[in-house]
Amino acid sequence: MPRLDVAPDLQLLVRVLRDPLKLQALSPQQFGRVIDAADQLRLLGWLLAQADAHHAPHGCPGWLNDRVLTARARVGEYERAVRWEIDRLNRAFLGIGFPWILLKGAAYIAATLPPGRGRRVADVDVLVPREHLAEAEAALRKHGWEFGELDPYDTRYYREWMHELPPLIHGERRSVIDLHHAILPRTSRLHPSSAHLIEQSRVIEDSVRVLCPVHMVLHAAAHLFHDGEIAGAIRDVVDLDGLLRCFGREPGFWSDFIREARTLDLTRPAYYAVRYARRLLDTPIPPDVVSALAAAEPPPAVRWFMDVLVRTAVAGKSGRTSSAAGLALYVRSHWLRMPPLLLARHLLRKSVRRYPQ
Amino acid sequence: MRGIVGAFGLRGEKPLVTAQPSRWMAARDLIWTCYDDSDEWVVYDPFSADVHLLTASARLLWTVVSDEQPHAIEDLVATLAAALERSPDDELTRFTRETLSSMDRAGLVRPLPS
Amino acid sequence: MKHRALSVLSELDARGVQVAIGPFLVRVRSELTGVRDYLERFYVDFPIRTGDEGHFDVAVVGGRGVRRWVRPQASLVLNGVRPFLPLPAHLAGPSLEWGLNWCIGNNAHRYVAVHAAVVERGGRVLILPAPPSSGKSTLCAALISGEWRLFSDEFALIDPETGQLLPIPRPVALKERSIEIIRRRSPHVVFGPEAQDTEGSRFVHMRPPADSVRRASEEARPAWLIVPRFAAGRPTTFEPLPRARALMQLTDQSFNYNYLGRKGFMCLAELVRQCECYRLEYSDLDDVLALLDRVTAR
Repeated sequence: MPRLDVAPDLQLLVRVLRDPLKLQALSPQQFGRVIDAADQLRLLGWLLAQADAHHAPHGCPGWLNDRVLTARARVGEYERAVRWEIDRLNRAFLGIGFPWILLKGAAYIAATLPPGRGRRVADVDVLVPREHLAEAEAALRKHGWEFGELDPYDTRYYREWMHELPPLIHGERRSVIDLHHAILPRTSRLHPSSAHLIEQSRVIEDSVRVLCPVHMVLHAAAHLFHDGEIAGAIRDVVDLDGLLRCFGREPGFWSDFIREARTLDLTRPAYYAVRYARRLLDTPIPPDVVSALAAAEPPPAVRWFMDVLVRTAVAGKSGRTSSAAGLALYVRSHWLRMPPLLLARHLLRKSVRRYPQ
Repeated sequence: MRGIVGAFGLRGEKPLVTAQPSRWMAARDLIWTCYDDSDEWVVYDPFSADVHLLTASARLLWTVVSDEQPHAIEDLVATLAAALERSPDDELTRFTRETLSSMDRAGLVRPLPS
Repeated sequence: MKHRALSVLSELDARGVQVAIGPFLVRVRSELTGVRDYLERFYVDFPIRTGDEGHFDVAVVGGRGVRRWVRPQASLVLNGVRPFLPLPAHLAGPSLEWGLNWCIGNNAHRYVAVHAAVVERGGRVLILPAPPSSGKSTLCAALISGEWRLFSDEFALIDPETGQLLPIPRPVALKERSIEIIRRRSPHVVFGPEAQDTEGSRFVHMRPPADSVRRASEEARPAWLIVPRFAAGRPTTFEPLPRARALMQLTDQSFNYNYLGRKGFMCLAELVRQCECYRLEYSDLDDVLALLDRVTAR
């Protein structure tokens, strides 16, 4: 019995990522496949923006028109949902007296940046000063968010080891807020100063804030190369590429980028971000930036290992950590976060729960 | 999400509204619909993608509140009482607070900074 | 015609077949004989040809590893996504319907989709929005055994540009007691083999009337919107439903009006404006059918 090929066409998507002009040359069937692949990798907004820019698809059959229309409706709704959530956060935090800063996807949307277009955001991440964390939590609970059901292990995992409170879930909308007081876990080797990030943050409107451009990029880099999930690898590299292309044109950005990477002790993630954005998506980076970051280069064996992992992750595993490479990156990321003894215990516990009988 | 705004004795949440005069802003781009077989209104908010059913008095309250002027609760109750031809009693006051609170929660009105 | 359908289905495990279902072109692929049998039994009147394109890409694949043969499983892959847990392989055929429901509810934002049974007579459409315990499927099956044309037992599909309803006639699913009730009323109808769904309920599919399938491209205007409620032992009661409340019901039962934004909402608001709206409670099928006949005769 032949096995049907039903996997999303990630190869095709990666080809389009590297050369969006290819969209014009796709057959209708291929276009349909690339829509499906993009949606799965949370890149549908990006894809449609590129399709618009390159006037694709052109003169296509009715079913493909309907599919594109549906895709547009989806990404419109994705974005609306996040903007509404931000509006509700603004309401919940009205008059609260301390800054709160949107991170990652919600921030890109709030700031109307390219990676925000039509973006599907699962959780909204918010950074607050550590001393005000309890007040922030209280404000959210007053406005309808509550903690989900968690067992004591998970609660401890979140509060003590990760850099997050357990997620807060809205009673009606079921939307999720992750409140942070730091952008990397307490148990990590690296401790970029939240106070510094908050101090440099920018106001969008009302009390909605985002990180300044350089910090936004550094956070994206740290998130990709420190956090546990590999599933968003392609998405995150596309984000970095989008941010760097957008901000890289601003005068002073690159020198600030190098300086802040050093100040926040994030030169290694910055090195990786620049390396993989260039390799995978040809992101234009000034040569002096590349050489300035060379000091943060890891030993060749580590660099080779990371190259393989990222290449494998991007080349088309469907984002699950079932492949050996996927698992290795997951292990590596967690290793950076937790001391080895804690890590072993945690991974064992997680693996038991992930594969129920 | 949908909800019925303006019915007496709503879900038992504590109102968000305080006794101080507050200024309110209406949500923009709302689409209001009514039919000639009842005096209830259906409003769609494209921002929240929510649909709400409002009684005629709730709709009236929304209209009054949404002029960006400061409104003390007592004034709102008085206006409603006059329009509905009933006395501005405790029941009407409670209704006004709860309806305003529901509309705030639904995003149909937003408090302006004082 | 049956012979032609048979030969085309040999592509099911390769390039796939393209089935025209209402306004949709659906690509179907499967290696499992259950799916082929299901299509032969229920889709013999539908336009089917070989093809790898369409609005939806539906594949029913066998289980992974040992579950291909031991307590075999089937999995639905819909536009590359697996939204459901694997099913026992004997449900592979019926799973097509569940897969299609998912596709229409999630991936067809060209139209407003409302959970409802929809039938048509004399160019005018009766919409029965379907909250739980509505009994809509039984009602629908009984109506189409009479003079009514089947649009759908699951979805009211509305074109926001025109306000018209679009047919998507498909096999009608019946559960538990409804199976016997409808078998007795419609002995000429083709039923599939009875099975148990994942929740342990008995269910069966009935082949859609050939006439409904043949006229699947004929749209029509909405005329009546009736919210049914089956309540055992209760007499048939019937009262007007204020349109504002009818609109709330519709948005409640709509899968996707929010994806269509203003257009979606206004489409439903306008539909309600055009319809006579009622609320209905019943327990006796004959009684309620007679009532519906009277109401829609005007």
